[in-house]
Amino acid sequence: MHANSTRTYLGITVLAGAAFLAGCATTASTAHGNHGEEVITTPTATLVVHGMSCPLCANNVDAQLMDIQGVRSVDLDMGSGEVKVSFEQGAAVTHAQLARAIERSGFTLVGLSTP
Amino acid sequence: MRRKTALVLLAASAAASAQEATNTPAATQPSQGKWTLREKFQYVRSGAQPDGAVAGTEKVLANTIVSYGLAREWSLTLDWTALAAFDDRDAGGSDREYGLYDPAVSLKWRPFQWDLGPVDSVRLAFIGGLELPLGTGEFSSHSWDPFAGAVFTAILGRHGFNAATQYKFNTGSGAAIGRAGDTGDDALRYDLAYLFRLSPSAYTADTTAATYLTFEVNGLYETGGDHEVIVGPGLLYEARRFALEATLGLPLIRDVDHRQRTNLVLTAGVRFLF
Repeated sequence: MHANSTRTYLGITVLAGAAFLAGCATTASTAHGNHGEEVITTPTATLVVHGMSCPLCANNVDAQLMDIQGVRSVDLDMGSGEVKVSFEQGAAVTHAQLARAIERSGFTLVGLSTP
Repeated sequence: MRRKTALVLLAASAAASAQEATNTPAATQPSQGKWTLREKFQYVRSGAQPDGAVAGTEKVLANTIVSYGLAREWSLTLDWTALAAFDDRDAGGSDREYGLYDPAVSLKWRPFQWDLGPVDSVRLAFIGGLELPLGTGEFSSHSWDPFAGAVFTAILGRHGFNAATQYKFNTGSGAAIGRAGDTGDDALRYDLAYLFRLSPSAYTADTTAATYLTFEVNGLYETGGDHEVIVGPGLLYEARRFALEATLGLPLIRDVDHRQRTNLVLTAGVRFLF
């Protein structure tokens, strides 16, 4: 009886852990799913990114965003997670491009807005 | 075959990335299409050989780790170590040798990532790889040795915690080359690291660098019965494109009968992100 209870408890724990991991992994990997291909017409955009825990980590965000043609500069506030992206005049950067860059950088995009 | 010791407590698969203590892997990696280069220089002082032929050994090692981000969750790492060894002979005199340890190639897969806030993150990664018999002379095990492990990282505010374990199957006949964990027995590494961000106390828009105090526990158990644990503090300075690190390692457990015991490990290193 005691052994069965222990086995049941272990099984529930493992299943709960697996469900937790699956849920969290899904959240991270679909962060850019809501951002479309519409071109940003404003000179800047602001992203909110989570998980940038150190300066060297954060540079991955910088590097991925600067790889987008039409991005002029990236200003990053690690404390708030705000990443301000400035575009060159006439650039045709889309929401989806920015979202994909954050996805590639290995962090989680939680917000994207334009002024 | 002489037995020499160099407790190189760098997991062969450690990716050169951020928020990672010197000798303990972290579940971090370069982003997709980006490279990191990490160079670690170690001074290792070991005690006498079990057969008494050598009173002590000093080694200087240069460990190079190159990692490439294959995808958001995947990275590839190549890791190799060059060394110079200086033995003090009991009978008098000394020996000097130079060589390369077997390099290792590995894949890191990070299936779980939970970014709780701007700074906070919890991650889990798995590592699998192969040690290639490309080292020089007696510094090579002359066998293809696979390894696998897991790394857990939690970063909460100014506090960072890494826990890693890795098991290596030594498929060779047991030709010892003096590299701890590569003496013919299978080897289990277990590493713990705590990082405290000394400065800045809080990140702002002006933050371009951070300094961490680290403390590591690096254990190595070999199926032949040898068990050694090195502990020690360190400092890590991270800027946006590079990092500098230095650690001191002292033995906490030295239950070692088949090779030399480690007395001291000093490490200094630099990392670059491209």
